[in-house]
Amino acid sequence: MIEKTRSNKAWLLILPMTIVVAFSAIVPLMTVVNYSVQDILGPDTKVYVGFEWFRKVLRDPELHAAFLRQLLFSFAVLAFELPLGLGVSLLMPRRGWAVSAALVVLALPLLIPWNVVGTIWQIFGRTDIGMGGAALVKLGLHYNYTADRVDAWLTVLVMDVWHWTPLIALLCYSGLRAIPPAYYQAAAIDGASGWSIFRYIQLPKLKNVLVIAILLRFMDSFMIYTEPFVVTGGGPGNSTTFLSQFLTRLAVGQFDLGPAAAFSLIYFLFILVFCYVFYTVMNRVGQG
Amino acid sequence: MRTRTSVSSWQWQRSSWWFAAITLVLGLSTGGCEKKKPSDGNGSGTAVAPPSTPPVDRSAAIKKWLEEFQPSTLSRAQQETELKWFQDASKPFAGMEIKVVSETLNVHSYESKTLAKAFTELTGIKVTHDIIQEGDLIEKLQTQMQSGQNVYDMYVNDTDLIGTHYRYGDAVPLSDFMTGEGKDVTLPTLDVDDFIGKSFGTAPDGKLYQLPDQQFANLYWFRYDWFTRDDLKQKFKAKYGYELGVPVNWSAYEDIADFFTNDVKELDGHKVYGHMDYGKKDPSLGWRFTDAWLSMAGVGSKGLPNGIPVDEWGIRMEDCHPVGSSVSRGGEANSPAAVYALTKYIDWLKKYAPPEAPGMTFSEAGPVPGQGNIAQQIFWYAAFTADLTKPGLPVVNADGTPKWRMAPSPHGPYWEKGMKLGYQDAGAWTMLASTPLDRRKAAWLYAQFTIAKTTSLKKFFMGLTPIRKSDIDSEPVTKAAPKYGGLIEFYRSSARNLWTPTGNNVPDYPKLAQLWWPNVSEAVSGALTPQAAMDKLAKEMDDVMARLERAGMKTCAPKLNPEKPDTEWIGKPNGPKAKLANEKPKGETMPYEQLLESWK
Amino acid sequence: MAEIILQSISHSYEVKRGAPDESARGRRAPSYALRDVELRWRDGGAYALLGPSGCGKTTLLGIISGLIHPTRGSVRYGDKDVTTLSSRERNIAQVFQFPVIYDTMTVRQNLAFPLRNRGLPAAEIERRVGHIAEILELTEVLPSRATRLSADQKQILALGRGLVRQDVAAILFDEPLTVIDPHRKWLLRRKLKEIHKQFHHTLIYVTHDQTEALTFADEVVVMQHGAVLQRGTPEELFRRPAHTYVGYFIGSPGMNVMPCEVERQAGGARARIGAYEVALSATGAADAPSGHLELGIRPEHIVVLGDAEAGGLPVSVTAVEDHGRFRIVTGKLGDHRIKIRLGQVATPGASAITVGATLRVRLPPEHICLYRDGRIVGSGVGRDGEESA
Repeated sequence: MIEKTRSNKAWLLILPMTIVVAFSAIVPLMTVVNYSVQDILGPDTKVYVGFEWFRKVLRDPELHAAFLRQLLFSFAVLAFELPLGLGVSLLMPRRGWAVSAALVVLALPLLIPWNVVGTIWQIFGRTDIGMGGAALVKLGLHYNYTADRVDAWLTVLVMDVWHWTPLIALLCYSGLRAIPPAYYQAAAIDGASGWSIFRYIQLPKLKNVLVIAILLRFMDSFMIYTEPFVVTGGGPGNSTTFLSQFLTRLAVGQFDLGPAAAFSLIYFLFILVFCYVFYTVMNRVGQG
Repeated sequence: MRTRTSVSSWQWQRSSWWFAAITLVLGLSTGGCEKKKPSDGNGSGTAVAPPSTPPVDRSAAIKKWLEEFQPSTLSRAQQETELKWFQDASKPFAGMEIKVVSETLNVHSYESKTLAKAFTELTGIKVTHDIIQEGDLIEKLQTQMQSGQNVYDMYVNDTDLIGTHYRYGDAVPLSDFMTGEGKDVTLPTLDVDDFIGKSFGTAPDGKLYQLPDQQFANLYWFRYDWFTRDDLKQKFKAKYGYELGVPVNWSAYEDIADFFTNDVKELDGHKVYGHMDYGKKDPSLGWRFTDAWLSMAGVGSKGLPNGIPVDEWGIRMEDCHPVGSSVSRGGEANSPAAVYALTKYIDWLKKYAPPEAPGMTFSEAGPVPGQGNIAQQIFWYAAFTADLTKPGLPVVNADGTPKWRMAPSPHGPYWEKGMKLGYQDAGAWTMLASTPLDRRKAAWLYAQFTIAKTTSLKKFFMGLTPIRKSDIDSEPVTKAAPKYGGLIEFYRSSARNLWTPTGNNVPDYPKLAQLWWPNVSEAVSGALTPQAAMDKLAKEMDDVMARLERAGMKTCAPKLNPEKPDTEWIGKPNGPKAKLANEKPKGETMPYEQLLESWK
Repeated sequence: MAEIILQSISHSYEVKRGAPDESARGRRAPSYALRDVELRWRDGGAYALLGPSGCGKTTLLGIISGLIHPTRGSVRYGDKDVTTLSSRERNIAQVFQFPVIYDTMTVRQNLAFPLRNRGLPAAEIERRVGHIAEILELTEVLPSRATRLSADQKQILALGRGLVRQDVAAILFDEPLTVIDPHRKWLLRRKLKEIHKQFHHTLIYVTHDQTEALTFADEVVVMQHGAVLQRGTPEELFRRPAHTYVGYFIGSPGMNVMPCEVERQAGGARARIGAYEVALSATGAADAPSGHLELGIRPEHIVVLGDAEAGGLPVSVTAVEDHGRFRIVTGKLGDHRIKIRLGQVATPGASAITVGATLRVRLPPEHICLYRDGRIVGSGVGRDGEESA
């Protein structure tokens, strides 16, 4: 039997990375925890307040509203983008030069900086100078995303779908390309219809890709900030104020570090828990 | 992996506990430790850098720049004396690199591009004058105040923060500085009393904390050419029973707005509107209100520059302590007058302004009058004067004179004589104690350079933001007045004293200002009634002030009054005003010429 | 069920069916995966398509199954020309390299799937599924999820999906044992043989493994570089490879091939390998042309002479490999490498076979094949195994 040598020197090898992670992630996180239990009004004016911020934040009706709004938005986003992205990927060409062309066109919305996306849609939706807004008005519809909350929601939703569906399409497309052709041959031999092929071959094989897509889009949409902020500023009223904007106003506008820290911890925990639950459930379902 | 032996997994666990413990300790200690104020030499730039600029050719530089700084209220010889003084006073700081910051205005662009360059060439002190958005500037300021780290050596910060600076104690009182440690770098001919905005930067202790660098007022703007058209005048008089002219009260403004939007509808082939405003949910919606919309409606007590005891935010201050903004504490933020102000803003925005207006921010709405569709605008910053006199615009005549004029804003039914009326923005040089002394001195030299009589008149012509009485009364300004649509007339009149910035009643401007725009926007969208929105706003302001009270401020911290039923306060002398039975009295107007006469 | 006839099949992936060669992209001439293949598959036969990677067997299978439409030539099922029909329309079944099953369905649903798609009544489907499951010994796992089966069971299930349809013309196998554990491969092979006995489908089995091919098929088609080299029973391929490549490919190790000179002499012909002469059989000598040829003989057929026997060709041993039940002796005959396959029992009277020793071997003429340019020449030795001195 060979004796297993023990050496702790390996820990030294990860020390550089540990230091980097400590300073860029762990130390700031601890600082946030620190702030979340204090009322900080100035470098010398700090008051320890215990869980007051957590209590206040969790009881704030505006927060509840923003939270529900955010959930609704994230689910709406998923409900539209997933089927649409999947559909687009099914329609994309598999061979020839058309593949590259399709990929480039599809990737274009993803390459645009997010605040520019917001600006594009803000102007697009304007009824005086925007193509979209003016067209809708010409068709006789009453459209004003600055004043009508439904219009504002729809505009933000459509913008997000335009922006991010290509990501899902690309993910699904790569997943589809990974399916061995043998499956399609077997399905043809079995006389399967297009719908059966989709249901029994493509969809199951795309399960992993879809899980990733859902996770990604949920997390991203849950923290969405720039695009709705640029288009509607969170208005009219609070109708498009999502969670991150709520946080930003506290932290950056008011420089109110205490409540902002408490809230960001809650925000972080929520996303963490959701992703963990979702991922575990999907894995179990896959194995079952 | 479960195949690990039990011994090595225990070892791994033990090591990882150590690992976690160390990082936790690291994190908590860094997060919790007090920030020490730096002694010196921290932050941007270096204390004394080896001279990177070529040796100053002093007389040649003076000669060159004297040409630039014409006209001036000083003679050339006097200008030369001042410039020589600057050169002598700067000698100990030659080679230093100074950073200052201001918001984005034309006048600051001139300072940043031209005056900074001139100063560097004249004195050898290298100045970087950053231009950033107002909101970002407040952030940088707060960062320096909160962390104690030097971010900028001086700030051009609105005197709206006078209450904040005074109470937090981070700003250096300039009046003390000029006679104390900064005596050797203070221009003898600075003539502080010449500044029309001196009172804006003065705190309750009588000390000057902020010295204005630029000023502009928020006034009423209108199309003079349309208001003097006979056909329109006749039509108006026929409908409303009084003359079309500069509105004196809000009733008249509303009537005129209704008239242009719904009766006239079109002029010269363009659709016209009788009102312009902005309403996008954005921080700029906050200034829309805190820049004295409430006092224009009539909220607040008498007193100049700001109402005492209640100011235009509705905050009540007793001695120097803020005691609350809700009516239940004696404030006026959710009073009938404040609700009236908010209601009218919303009504007019929806009824008389162009349909895109509710979706615009302040900066998007600014250029709109220049496009020729707007008849009048009640909330208009004179800082846009230069933009609206550009040749070729639909609102400018062929000879370069504007078709429009500015006039004092109309007041609401709650307003009484003796109150302030409108808002004046005064961006003022502010010095923070966390900046090292030598840097402060060098920056102070540059600050004075931008407001000294040598440069101030030329600067005025470049930015149209007057700060000195001597400049306003000067001959070159008289000659140029017709081009500015009434700006000069306003500044020469006594009316200008009714236009002031936010005052000492506000103990923490950044925190309190941010509470306004979300609440206003909820009222705009209809999610809350105006009363509910103002109630919420007042409560939130009181909560912040309670926290300031609890945490303690260096001076004059808030001391909240206990809450009492509204009836205890409403209608009492010096208290929030009771609701008027008739909020729309008959409209009153005054012909523009008559207004000018009354100022002479 | 009918004959499958491939006529003049040529296929290049770069040239579409019916298009001229010039239509291929690129300047050089298009490369052809198959050239002028002519094959007939009898109804009910078990065939193996054997060859190295890239020889075109998968392409050929694709042409039979309908996945590929050949550039030239035609495919007929009996009288019906199916060349341009898709897989769906051809009534074939295929088992792939890895088990292709529907993960989300149970075993029962998998088997029922092809029948449901063809609209059969539920009772009929039940009956057939039960029947096939019984034959394939899948009855117990019918209700389980298909993913739960082991790899070989999955392949059986895939096969089952083909069997469940009664109108299948042929079942095609594309290296189906690739992912199966070696010790379970035999289970599948046994199953296939049983199925074949029971149902008499035409089975076409593509593989690069000669053991699989030789044990499974009645007839083996050996391919190389897009052409059929030889077609015949395993025994034919073994005894009389029509191509040196076939000789090399079949058998373990493959046939020894050495260059030789054939001389006609009185009383027969002789082949000279280097300095040594080897007698040829009468029939072999009869049609062997003279000149430069290659002589092929299988390692199994070489006889090692005992010490007491005279004559023989000297082979100096360079390596001896022990394979358990047999040994492979590698040696040199003159300049040529030669391999001999021997049992473990030593030849009586022969000296021990060690590296460096010299053996004397005899090449029996009845097992000698002659080749020119790789192709067999002469009628060679027939099944009579005539000997001649």
